[in-house]
Amino acid sequence: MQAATAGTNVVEVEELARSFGDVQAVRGISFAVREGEIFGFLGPNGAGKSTTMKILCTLLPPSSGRAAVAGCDVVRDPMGVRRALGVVFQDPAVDDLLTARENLAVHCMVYRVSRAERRERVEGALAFAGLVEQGDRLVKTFSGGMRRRLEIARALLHRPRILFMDEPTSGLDPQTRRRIWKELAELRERDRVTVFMTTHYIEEAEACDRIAIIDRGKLIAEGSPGELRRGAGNASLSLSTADDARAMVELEARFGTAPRRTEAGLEVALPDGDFMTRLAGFPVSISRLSVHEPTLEDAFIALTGSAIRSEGAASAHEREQKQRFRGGPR
Amino acid sequence: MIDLQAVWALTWRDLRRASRDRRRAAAEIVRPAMFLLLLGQGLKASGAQAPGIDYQQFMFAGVLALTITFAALVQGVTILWDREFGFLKEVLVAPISRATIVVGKIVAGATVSVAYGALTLVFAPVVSVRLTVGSVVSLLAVFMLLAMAITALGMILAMIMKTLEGFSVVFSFVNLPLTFLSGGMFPMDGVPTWMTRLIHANPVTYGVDLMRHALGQPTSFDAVTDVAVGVAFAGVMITLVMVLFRRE
Repeated sequence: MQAATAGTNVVEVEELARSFGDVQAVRGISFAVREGEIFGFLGPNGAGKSTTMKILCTLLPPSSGRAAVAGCDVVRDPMGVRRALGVVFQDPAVDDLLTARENLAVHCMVYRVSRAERRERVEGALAFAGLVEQGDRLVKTFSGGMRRRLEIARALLHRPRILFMDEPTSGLDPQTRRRIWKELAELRERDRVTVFMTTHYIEEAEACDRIAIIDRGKLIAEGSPGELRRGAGNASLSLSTADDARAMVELEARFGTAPRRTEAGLEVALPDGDFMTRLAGFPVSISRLSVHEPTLEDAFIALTGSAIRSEGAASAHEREQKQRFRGGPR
Repeated sequence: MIDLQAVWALTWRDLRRASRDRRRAAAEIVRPAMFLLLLGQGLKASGAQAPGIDYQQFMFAGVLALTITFAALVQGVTILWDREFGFLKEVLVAPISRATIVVGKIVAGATVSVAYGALTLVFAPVVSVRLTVGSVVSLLAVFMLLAMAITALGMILAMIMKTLEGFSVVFSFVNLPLTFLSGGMFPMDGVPTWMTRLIHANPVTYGVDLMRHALGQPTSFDAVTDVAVGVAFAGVMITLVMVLFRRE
């Protein structure tokens, strides 16, 4: 799973592990994030995403292994790492009792943005967040989406090489989520900022250039959303016919694989290439026909053996049950 | 090692926040008024005396110390809010040293406390304490020294207690003895020996004494001793915060 040599790697992680007492949160993971890409770290709650992120942000030392950001080791040169970082935390970290402008000004001062540039940067950030009109309002009057946009703008204020975001759209409504995605896409086009984000939303992962899937502290897959989808198997064709028994024989002859009976009718795996010619002159009347392309969700289920657990993650007990059901961990 | 611009950023932030907290400002004004005017007047009427000085004038330094101690302890504890509401993480990932964060938080907390202390000075004419430019400047300097030490103490307690609930329990146990046993509320001669020992062991005592120097009131120690104890107290507290903060 070594990253391709093309381009520079902004993040390099090798055999990274972190335990808390007896609990192994991250169990020896390796991956790389390339310059200018949006890299998604997909996994259920409690998979080790936030722990990895904290290590990369220099907030938590690893138990073993190595991690480097912008060429700086997180343990030996945390300052170098921090200079390259912009961070958006999972929980909002803007100052309620300050205005949006004041929040941005404090950040500029902490990051030593020169006085001459400060005003321009702050106004630019407000424009990016779409908060120019609300710039002098106290943040405590802001909605969740406004706060999040302000935080992202603030994280970019000092022009970091890489933006880390921990569950950036968690708890936001779909409209706000889409808006933030649009802003991130624009940002990448314009400034070529590398983005590393954790998420447990499949839709969010779909929009990334590359994804690593993490489950129970281990990396189980890495690739573009397309690659991972293809890894989940072929597309399938589902159809309802006037005579399913006869259609099954016919389908097996034409497609080379045995169809399955489903609630809605029949389903058969599609081979590569044109399938319409294989159906030419089909002797049984077909009332419904649809092609099902594998989704990232399918890929996720195929890889982890369970659907992604959303808000209110499965308890350890539940996990154990699932694992036993699957015959233990692979 | 200490990034002064970041220290100023943290100070500016805390001053802004404090300036928006009207209720707190009101409380910081009312508290000294209660002590000075109600308690002071009452004690004076019931015959309390201080050697060579009017009792309420005597209490003025004690009330200033009370304001500083109270405000600075609270400012120290705001580190718990900073942690809870993410601001601490935001500065922890910034390219500034841990020492800068500690010093920034202490200077910020102390500055806010000095501002409240300065507000308390408006009661001086009420109890016929005469202020000059010189005495105000000296007082503000004493406030700053004391406030830095006590803000650091508040941060230490906050880091040990870890939660706001835990802290509120300790608060009175720390705040009241520090100010009551400082020679500010009642004269230190004439109290039992055990109490004299406690008063002498309390670093706030020397801050109060230094305020008396600034106000031209009768004092118990010479100013050099007061300054030395104050600087040592602040130094020890700040060092302790640095040590504890490494674990963050």
